[in-house]
Amino acid sequence: MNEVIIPERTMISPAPTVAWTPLGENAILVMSACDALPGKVPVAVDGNPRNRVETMALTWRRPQADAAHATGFLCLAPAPSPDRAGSGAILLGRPGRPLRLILAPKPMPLQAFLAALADEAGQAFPTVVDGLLEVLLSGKSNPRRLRAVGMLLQSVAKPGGFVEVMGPLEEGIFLQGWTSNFAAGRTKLLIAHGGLSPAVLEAGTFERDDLGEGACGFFGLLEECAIRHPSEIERLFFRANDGWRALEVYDRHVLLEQITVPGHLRDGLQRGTAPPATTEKLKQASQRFDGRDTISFLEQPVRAGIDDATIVEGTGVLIIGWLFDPERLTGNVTLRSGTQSCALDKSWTRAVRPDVTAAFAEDPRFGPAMASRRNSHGFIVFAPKLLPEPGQPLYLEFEVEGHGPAFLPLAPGRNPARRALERVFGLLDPRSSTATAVVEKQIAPALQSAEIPPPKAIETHDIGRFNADAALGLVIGLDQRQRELSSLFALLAIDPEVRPLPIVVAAPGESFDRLGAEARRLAKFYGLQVRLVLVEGVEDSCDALEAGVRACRFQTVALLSGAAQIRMPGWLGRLERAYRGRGGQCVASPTLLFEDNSIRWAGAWLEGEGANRRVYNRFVGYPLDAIGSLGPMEVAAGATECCVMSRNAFLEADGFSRSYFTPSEKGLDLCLKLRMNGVPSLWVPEVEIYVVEDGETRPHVGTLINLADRTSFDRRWALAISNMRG
Amino acid sequence: MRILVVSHGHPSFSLGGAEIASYNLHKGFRANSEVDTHYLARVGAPTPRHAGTALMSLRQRGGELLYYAEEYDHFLLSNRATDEIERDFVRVLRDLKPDVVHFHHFIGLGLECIFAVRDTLPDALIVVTFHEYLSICHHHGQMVKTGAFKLCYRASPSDCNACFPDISPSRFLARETFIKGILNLADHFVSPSRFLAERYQQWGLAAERFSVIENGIDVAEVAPPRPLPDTEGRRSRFAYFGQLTPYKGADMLIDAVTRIPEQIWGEDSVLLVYGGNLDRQPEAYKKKFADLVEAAGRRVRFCGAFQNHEMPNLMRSVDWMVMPSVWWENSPVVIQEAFFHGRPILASNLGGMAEKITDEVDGLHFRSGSPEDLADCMTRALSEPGLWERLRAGIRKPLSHVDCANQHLALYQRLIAERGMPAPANRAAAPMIA
Repeated sequence: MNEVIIPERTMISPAPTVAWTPLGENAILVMSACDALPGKVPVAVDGNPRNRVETMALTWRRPQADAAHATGFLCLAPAPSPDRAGSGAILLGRPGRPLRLILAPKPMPLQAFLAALADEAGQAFPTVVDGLLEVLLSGKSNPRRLRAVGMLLQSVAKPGGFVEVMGPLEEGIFLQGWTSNFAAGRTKLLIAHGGLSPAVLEAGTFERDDLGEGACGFFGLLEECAIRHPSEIERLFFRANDGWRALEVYDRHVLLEQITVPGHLRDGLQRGTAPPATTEKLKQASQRFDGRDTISFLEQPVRAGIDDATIVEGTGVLIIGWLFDPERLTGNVTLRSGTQSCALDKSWTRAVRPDVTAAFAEDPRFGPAMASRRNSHGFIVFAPKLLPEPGQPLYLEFEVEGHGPAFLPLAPGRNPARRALERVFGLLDPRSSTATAVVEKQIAPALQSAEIPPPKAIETHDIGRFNADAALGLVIGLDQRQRELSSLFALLAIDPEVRPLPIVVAAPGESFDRLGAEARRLAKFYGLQVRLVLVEGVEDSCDALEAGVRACRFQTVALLSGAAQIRMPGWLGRLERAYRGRGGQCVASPTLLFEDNSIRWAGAWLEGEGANRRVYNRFVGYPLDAIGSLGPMEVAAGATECCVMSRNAFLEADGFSRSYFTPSEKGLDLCLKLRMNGVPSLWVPEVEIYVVEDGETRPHVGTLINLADRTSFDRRWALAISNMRG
Repeated sequence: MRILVVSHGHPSFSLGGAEIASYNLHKGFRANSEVDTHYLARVGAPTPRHAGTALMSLRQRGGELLYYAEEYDHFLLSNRATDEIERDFVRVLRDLKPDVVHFHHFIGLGLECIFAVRDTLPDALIVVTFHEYLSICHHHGQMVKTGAFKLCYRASPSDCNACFPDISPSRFLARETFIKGILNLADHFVSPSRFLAERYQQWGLAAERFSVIENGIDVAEVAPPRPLPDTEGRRSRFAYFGQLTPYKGADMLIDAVTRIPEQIWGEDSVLLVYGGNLDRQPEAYKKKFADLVEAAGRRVRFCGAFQNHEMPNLMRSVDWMVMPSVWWENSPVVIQEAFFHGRPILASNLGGMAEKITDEVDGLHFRSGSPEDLADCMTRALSEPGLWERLRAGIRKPLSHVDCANQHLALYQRLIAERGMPAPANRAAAPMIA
């Protein structure tokens, strides 16, 4: 029989139990000692060859220990599976001599582990930490790792300077302070902010005479960082030549407003130095808007001014101004507010501005430029959807060749959409083609996109016994203009068919005080049952009519605009009979007259073929007797200044659109909607009503307003009309 | 028949022609035993009112009521105190139950009163007499343009806006539709002159609803002709009666006087100017007037303002009356008074004057606004023998207040019969509270 000799060397030595701490994400840190260990070893958990990775081992000498434990080491290892199916052991694959370690039953908390490491490693601790940090930072970062890093850094990093000033910028954070340990240029940092995250500092440096030897001031931009606001920063770490250093945040630091940061950057660039790439970055960042008008001080012959800037509530910004740029040095022109922006030069309409040309004609700086003879320095533009937030400045940015961006702050007014846009009409020169372009391309689309809230009834007061559910009722819609209620109520009362009907009088809130008392008195004297409705958001009589219709429950409503005046008794009776003659499936309107008895409206008719087909007010301006004695007839559209219709039909068509400036266009739009819903319009020539709109707008403004409405109307209806029969 | 005559003023307080005419009508009705007549006149500030009612008496004679009204919209002719109309005016209507309500005006009372009558007494006859063009014209109802003096021939919202740029055409339209609407509640309209009636018909009131009835005057005695100093005496006393406003043409009259050659004017001729209110006129007019007066010297004698009841006395020293008005004039009572006393009239050939005075029959016409033409007339008056006597003989006696009332009664009866309703019972004067 042969004897088996078991060599001593193959004896399995007992496995040491080692301290360990979890690092999250399936990794742990392990610390122990052995005789020797290469820098890079494969490691497997529980001897499971499938669960193995390469790891870095950081080692140090333990002079006091015996040979078997002369080398202390620290390494990352895969975490044991949570159910501890294995033995909780780790196998380090040293070539030829695998080292088996048993993990201590309980992990140590990170803090304690590091303290133990410090003890163990002694003087080698900083080097070990360095190496560990490298390892930790090179892998995928996760919060635990970073926390570990943070803690390590905390204990290890030496002072490296202070941050004295901070300020947010769109693309990073401005820092200024002093340091003795890094140079101008690009420096990688770690920011401690509760967590820990990497960033890059592009900085320049400058001399300061309040600092000691070797220290200098720095200023720069923190980029590629995860934090949003400088106040989150607790401290910053960076790897200097001699180890990790910390930049503390001075507790009496200055926190800048975003808008002042560019100024500080500019200051720094003047005082300090930095390598070209860094300087370029900082210079670009310093050219951000800082609240000042810079375009007026350019060396280049480019100037700009603003005549009017209005925030059109809920809709966008309307700007009227001029850009004087005879040498065509300006590229993009952008409107900005906070993070919102709009490229104006793509959509603006240029306008002639001889006053601007004249103003610069005498200026020697622009003399040579005048030879270009261009005159269209003005611009009018509507920036849709750009809604400045309170506190955020609104400004224009001009890309000027040879200079970079130049800025012009705006001091906008604020107005509801209709009013803001109506103002623009008055500012246009009607004889210019610019006016047409502005109206078609800026104003009409602006009103179309405006989200004007519907008129809202705020209060109602009933006088007399008001029957809100009557089969037929009258709805009167008043706008801001003064109306002679004495005349209106008297004429309603004189008519025996009208006197017993319930009447809704809807009026804007602003005039309610004056109107309310007057209406009450007259309703009482004439024995009328009236519901007064106070309405908010009335821009014209259509708004009031709409609120009035919604404030009652009549089956059939007779609408009467505040601009309408009664001409003959029996008007309503006859209209209503004509309406019922069509089974209540129509909108019945009378002839509308101007105050001189000429025709204001006698039916809207379809004319023309194909693309030229349009609806128009064929008989407008003719004398009354041009009508002769026609009977009721169907027309393309009715007139809502005075009409009888079913209340349900009105509501189903969703009432009046708010995308037009004039009540007559709104009425036309509504009647066409009704027609599409199967409710055609009926003209009843035997009934005549005055509709007199006082010429409060100058005639040319009226033309422009009509053009705007035509543009909007055609955009909505041209196609439908070209296909309409009749 | 019970009648309520409504006036915009009581002659005790205000002495306008319309007030006098309305009161004369009431007096004329009173003379008829088959008629029970009542008179309601508006009063206003500075008369103090009763707190709880618009009705007052101020110790007027029986059958007369005063109605305080001061919340008046001059533009719309509307009374804003509609609560009081309901409470007081309507109460009077209900208690009185007149068969006829005759409005001699509605200034101050407001058009709402006409509505109230129609609403309260659906069967009563409502008659409205027009004294000027207030329903048509916002410029003091005179149909004369504002600004440079120009006569107005036709009203329309845009024409009226030209005279009153601050008042928009739509407001004028509202005024027109309101006034026409309420007036059309009345059954009949009366005008003292054909000229005025035609203007209203042109404006839009139906011709068949119009009657022309002269205002009646109530003067006791005819003033005898002025006694002439001797057989050579001429009829050389001219008189002007009226306010000294530019519309009345007094300045033109004085201008005409200065143009008459001395040998024609002589020593015996004089122009007597009875009237006041010069100080209320615009500066330019006052200056012009003063210059003319200076030029005329002793040819013109200013006699100051006059009261209506003094007329018979004043007429004694007058041969010719001159009416140089440069506006339409309706039917100034002074024409009838002059005719009552047999004084021929030299008048502008315009409006109501041209209607009431017939050229070469009871007076002479001259071209309105022309001092030369007027001077020619006055020259004829001073030099043409027998002219005064001939013209005096051509004068028709004007209507007395009783005759005027009777004509009105005949009108009422005709209208009531035409409606097919029973004639109202003879009603003796009875206390209002029966």
